[in-house]
Amino acid sequence: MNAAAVFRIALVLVVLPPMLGMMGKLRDIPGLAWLRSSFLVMCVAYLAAVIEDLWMEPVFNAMQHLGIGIAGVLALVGVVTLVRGWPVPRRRS
Amino acid sequence: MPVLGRIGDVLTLITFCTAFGILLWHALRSPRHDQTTAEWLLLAVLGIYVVISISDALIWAKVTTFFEPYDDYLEGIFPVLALGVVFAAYSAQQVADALRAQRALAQAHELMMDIVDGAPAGILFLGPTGATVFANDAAKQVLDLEEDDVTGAITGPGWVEEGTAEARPGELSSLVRDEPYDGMPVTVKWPNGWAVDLRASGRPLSDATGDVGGVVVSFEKPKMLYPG
Repeated sequence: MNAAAVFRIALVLVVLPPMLGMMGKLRDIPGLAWLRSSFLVMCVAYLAAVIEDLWMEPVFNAMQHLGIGIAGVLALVGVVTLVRGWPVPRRRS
Repeated sequence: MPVLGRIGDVLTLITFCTAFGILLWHALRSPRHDQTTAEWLLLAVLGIYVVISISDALIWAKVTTFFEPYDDYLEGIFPVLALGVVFAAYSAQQVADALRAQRALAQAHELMMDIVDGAPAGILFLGPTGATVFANDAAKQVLDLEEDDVTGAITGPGWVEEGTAEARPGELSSLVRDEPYDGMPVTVKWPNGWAVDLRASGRPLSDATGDVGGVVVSFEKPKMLYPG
């Protein structure tokens, strides 16, 4: 089994709850939903990377690569929304 | 299946590189703002997949496999860095909220002080021992109180209360009660013999332990002083 993939998914499981908790309290960040979706799809891709060593390798390998690609699309939409929708940046006083 | 995987790799390369470029362009041209740290960390997160996808492309094109061993490490720090982005954004929002609340509180305080200082009635806040903690302009004028510019302590000329059981010079300890009262007569005498009659109303305030933490005392401005 790929140790790096297992380590990665373990790390995701640790960081996901506080991350989603804080994300739920964030305001005034356009594109946040896209970025959150991107991260969640990335987590699914990481899970597929673990499963591919155990079962149906070609399917889960494709799923992993495709998942990261889809996460990229979501991240791109999120970044474009963020950059376009972010109000005139407020200077620190 | 390999075709699907390849499509995923191409998507990864195009989308992450584009997202990275757009965010870098925004980060470089925008002035510093509340979420600057989060923005640069997000850039680093996107940068991870820029490096990984370029590395994959180089492997696929049989150019080099030099970067391949680093891919796993980079993917390993991705979740932590993503958490860092969210934490930075959340912290910046908390700080901005706290500063906004602080400014609103300062404005409300300033407004209240304007109202209290402009009131024709004398208003005092006495501590639990009877020491004057706060006096508005009318109270300072009637009781001849002065506020120390440095310490903020309020001092009087050593006047004496009369008509109360526990009159003590320099304090209004008899006005500190655990029950509200209205129209309580109190005579304040100055060492030079001048005196003033007041009718005081008080409202006790509890401290965190439930004990009397002080009393807000108000009195109407007397018409005149008289020689006692």
